[in-house]
Amino acid sequence: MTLPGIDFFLVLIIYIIIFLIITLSYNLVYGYTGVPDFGRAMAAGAGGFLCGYLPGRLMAYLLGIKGDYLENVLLIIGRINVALENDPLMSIGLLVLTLILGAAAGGVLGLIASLPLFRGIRLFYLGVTLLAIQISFNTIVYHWEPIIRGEFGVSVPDPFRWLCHYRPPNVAPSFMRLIGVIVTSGIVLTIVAYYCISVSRSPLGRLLKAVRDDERSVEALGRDVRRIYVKVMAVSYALTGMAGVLFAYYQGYVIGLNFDKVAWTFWPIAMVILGGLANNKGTVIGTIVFITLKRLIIFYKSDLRFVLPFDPVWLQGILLGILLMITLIYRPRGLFPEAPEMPLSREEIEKLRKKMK
Amino acid sequence: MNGVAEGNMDDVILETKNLTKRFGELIAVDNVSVKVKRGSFSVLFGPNGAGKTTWVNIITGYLKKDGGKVWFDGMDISGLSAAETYKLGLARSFQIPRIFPRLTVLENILMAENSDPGESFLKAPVRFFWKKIEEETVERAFKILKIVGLEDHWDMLGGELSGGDAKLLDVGKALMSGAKMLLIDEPIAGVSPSLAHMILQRLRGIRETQGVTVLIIEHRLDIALKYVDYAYAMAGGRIIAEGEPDEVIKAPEVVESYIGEKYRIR
Repeated sequence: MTLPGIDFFLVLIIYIIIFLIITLSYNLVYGYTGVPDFGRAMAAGAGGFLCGYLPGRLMAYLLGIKGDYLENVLLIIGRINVALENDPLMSIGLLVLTLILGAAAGGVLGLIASLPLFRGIRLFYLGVTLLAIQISFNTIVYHWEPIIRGEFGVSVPDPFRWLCHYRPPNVAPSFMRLIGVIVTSGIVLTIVAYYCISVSRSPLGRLLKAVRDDERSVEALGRDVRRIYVKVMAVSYALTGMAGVLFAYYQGYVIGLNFDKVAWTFWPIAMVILGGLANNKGTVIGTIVFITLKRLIIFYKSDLRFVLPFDPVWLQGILLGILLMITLIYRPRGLFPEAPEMPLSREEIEKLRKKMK
Repeated sequence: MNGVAEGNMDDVILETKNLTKRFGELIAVDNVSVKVKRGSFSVLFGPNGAGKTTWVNIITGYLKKDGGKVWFDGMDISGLSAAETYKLGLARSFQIPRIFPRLTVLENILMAENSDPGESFLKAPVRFFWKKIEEETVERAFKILKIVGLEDHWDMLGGELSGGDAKLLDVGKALMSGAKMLLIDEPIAGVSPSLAHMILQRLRGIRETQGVTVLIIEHRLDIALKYVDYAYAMAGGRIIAEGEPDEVIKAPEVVESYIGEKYRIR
């Protein structure tokens, strides 16, 4: 049995970071607000597919590269990458622009997806509707070739290539690229984590939990609950949209089969449930455990071929499914159950109370 | 027979005129005209199915009326939503207290404050924008908790409170909103007599110290009538008597509504 090398750990870190962005933003919608969102893959897809559609075309336009983009995509992306390799500023600019546009695309999609709420649809049905919208979204991207050539997919420009010029001796260019992805994803994760954790410890976090517990009561207290749902969906989808962009840039290509409902909707839900709903610490632990297990199963799949009585391709689903069932039976509230998170600390509140006495 | 003399509208905080609500063939609220005096502590009572809660649901925007008008504090509020009537200062509690079970008692009270900048998706992540206001609101919330007697339970989860405390918390939420009038549905249902007296004493205290008008909907008249200064009796969707509590309880129509055949639901 071989031991994982450094590349395994670098890829593992990338996957953990990307999925942490998704699960933390998902926790905001499901854990804190109680919206059963089964369309999360669509949010990641908004960023990922946008990454396949826009930056390549934009760079081709800016660099004056002529010709049918989709027919000559490999050649065009090759020329774009040469330009990006020699221009770090342009590379960073393109990366930041795509992240912003990916977030915007996710946000708009979140806004549109939550509009059925204004027709009086109940939350459970919204969850199912989101699943249906997500499947339709993926089907359109897969079959409508003008977007990203459907099942053939497209390469995306590489904004990390310039890092190869700064690599130490004996270090492979691919290593520098992975480091670039990790640093960029790490920065995005820091922003997303800061936002989600700060919101959960603010009056807004309190409001979201109240909406989840009893939306009618919140309405009676003068709040427009439907607007709250729409806003939280738009914000959360925007954050997840950035994860889609990062994943597309990491892979270097996007195809219509990417961002499927199992890997990008159901597994993130399982990660949040495993860690504990409405608990950011639990979400982080749940995601790390789940992704590590998943990557290890993939890594050792071929070794297990001789031990298992079935094809190891099924092992990932079986083991993770069992893990989820055990969690739901023995720790239905997750590894780290929800705990009160107040905007002011206990000490601050006690101080105010004493001051009044 | 009104709580307020005709023409003296400054003294009236709530008025319904010919308010009607039908559910198919059933007329749940039948041309109900009521005036509630500002600063009063009144009770609305009647047998099950009399239409009391339906009347409250219409006034507070939870149900659409089929006819009639509602005025609150001199303003026509007919057809306004629950959120809009709440913002105008007409707060209500429910038969079953609507407590947020996974928020603390203090947070439950704080939820009644709906102009908090910390609830903005842009400002929430930065404490600077909301910390000072949150501190001021917490101070105000503790004053309310003291009034309703839950100060020492501030860090308990709402779901851990006893039935009586949950009702008091519901009242606290209404007070925190700066309500001018509280409509409280069955504040002492299902609680022990001693706790029932305590709850009504506190409600009376709130009326006296805060100047808030209180109207309770209640079945336990043996306890409730000792505390209120005006009573409305309802049966078959109509107001059948109103006035001094001792007189209303003895009115023949009221006695008939409880032990006779006339208002029995078939």
